[in-house]
Amino acid sequence: MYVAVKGGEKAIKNAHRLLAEKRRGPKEIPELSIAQIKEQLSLSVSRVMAEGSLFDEDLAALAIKQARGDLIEAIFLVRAYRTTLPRLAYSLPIRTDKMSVERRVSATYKDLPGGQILGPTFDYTHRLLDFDLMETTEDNLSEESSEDTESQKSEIDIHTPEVVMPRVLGGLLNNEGLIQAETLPENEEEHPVGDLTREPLEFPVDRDQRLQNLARGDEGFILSLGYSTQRGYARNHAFVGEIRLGTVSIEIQPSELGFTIDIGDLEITECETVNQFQGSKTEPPQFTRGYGLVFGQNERKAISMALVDRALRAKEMGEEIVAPAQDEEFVMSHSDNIQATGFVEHIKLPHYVDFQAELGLVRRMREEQQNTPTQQTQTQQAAE
Amino acid sequence: MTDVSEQLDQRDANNERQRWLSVLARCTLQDLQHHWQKLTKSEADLSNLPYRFLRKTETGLVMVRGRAGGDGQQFNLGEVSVTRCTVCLDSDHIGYAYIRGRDHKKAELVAVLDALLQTNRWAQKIRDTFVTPLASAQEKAKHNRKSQIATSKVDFFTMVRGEDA
Repeated sequence: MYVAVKGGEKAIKNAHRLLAEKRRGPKEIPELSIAQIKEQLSLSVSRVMAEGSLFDEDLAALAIKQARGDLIEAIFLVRAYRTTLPRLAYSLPIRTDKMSVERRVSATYKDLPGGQILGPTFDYTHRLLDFDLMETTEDNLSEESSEDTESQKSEIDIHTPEVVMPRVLGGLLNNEGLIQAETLPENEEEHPVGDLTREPLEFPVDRDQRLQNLARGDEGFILSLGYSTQRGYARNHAFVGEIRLGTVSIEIQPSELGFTIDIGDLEITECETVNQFQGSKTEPPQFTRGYGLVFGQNERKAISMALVDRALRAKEMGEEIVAPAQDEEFVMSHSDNIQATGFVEHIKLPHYVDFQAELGLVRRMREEQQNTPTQQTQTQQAAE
Repeated sequence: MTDVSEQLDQRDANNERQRWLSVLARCTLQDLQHHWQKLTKSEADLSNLPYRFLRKTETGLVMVRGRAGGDGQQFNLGEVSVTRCTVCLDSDHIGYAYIRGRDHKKAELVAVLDALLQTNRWAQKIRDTFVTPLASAQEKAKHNRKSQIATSKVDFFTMVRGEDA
């Protein structure tokens, strides 16, 4: 039972002032700018955009600044903000095959047409703290390394024609029918696409709602569930078929114009996993797929999402549901970190009346217990 | 699979207006204002160009959709902030802007340019001042980034394992 509390306005006001001071920190240290957060903490910005479910780098950076770097608090701010804006349109499905690629690797296909492009990645770094970064300098990149890049770059400029990068799963590996193809619903135009921001969650759900839920779900939760599938809970032995990071165009078709227009770029990370499948009475053994798609640069989330997406396809594959990662109700009801933190953290707010009620109850129970010692012994004996 | 790709390709067919809207949507406000100021210096008619709003600049959301596996069932990925604006010139040419982000000044300027690009009087001028140079700058930046990224292209070798040697 919730009972409102009154009072404390002055204390609350002062608490907010203390919070603002804490956020700013010592005055002699320069204040962080939104541009600095956006450009230098871009992976935090990516996470806030993905889980805030709103792609806007400036707003995400602002939220991070305001939340003192608490990313879940920042996500909360972004989610709250988005509810104030009208929905103008739905985009056409983005074309990840036409992505301007920043990075693209496959763990299954070594000699990939279009090549393996490492891009800006932590992979293959030694994970040693770089103490040079302790000091801020004009330019942290050494001149030697950028000269190196310049010469390689001009070489590439001359030698490389336009490279095409076909999708590994849909395009390259699918030729022999060894990989399950994606299917489109009949009459796609009329088939409604589930939207969790508009309709409340009701089970069972379809893959569209699951993918939307996972895309905005908590990175840590999805990561742990993905990990659980690798450790044997709903084992389906995944390889990374392909990871892509880059930008795609966002296209919409405003009704007043009657044709498609391109409204700008969107940075996204995409991951496709290839998973084992034994086959069934009707289908020969083939590889199955999991799919991950996330705003910004976030491979950990994209891979985890693909693992969990595959695990959640258990029913459609006729697999026995034995593990948490396969249970759509469990996964989808607990993946949203704003719902989760709201419920977990609310118990720190005043619950005086609830607690008083329980306190009274426990006191009464204890009194009753003390007043009837014989009855107590009798029940205990009966229980034994 | 190819059928789907072809269908999708078909839908992507562009025309000129789509192209200029796409170029203008990707410009910064600074770029647009810079070119506008340059142009209005020589063309006095433009500096006090009369137009009215059919729809005032407004920021809202577009829900971005993806497809499972890149080419399968559609799903809602998440939203982007978008600003739109519609203007009408005295000549009754209507200009639209839909741009990613929350920049109202940019949306208004894009809508005005879209309208001007449909007039006989200004189309060529606007194309030469805005669309062509901005498009080539965007292409160049894209190409530059591509060759920068290409320096991290890797050839992995599979090592022969002990027991196979």
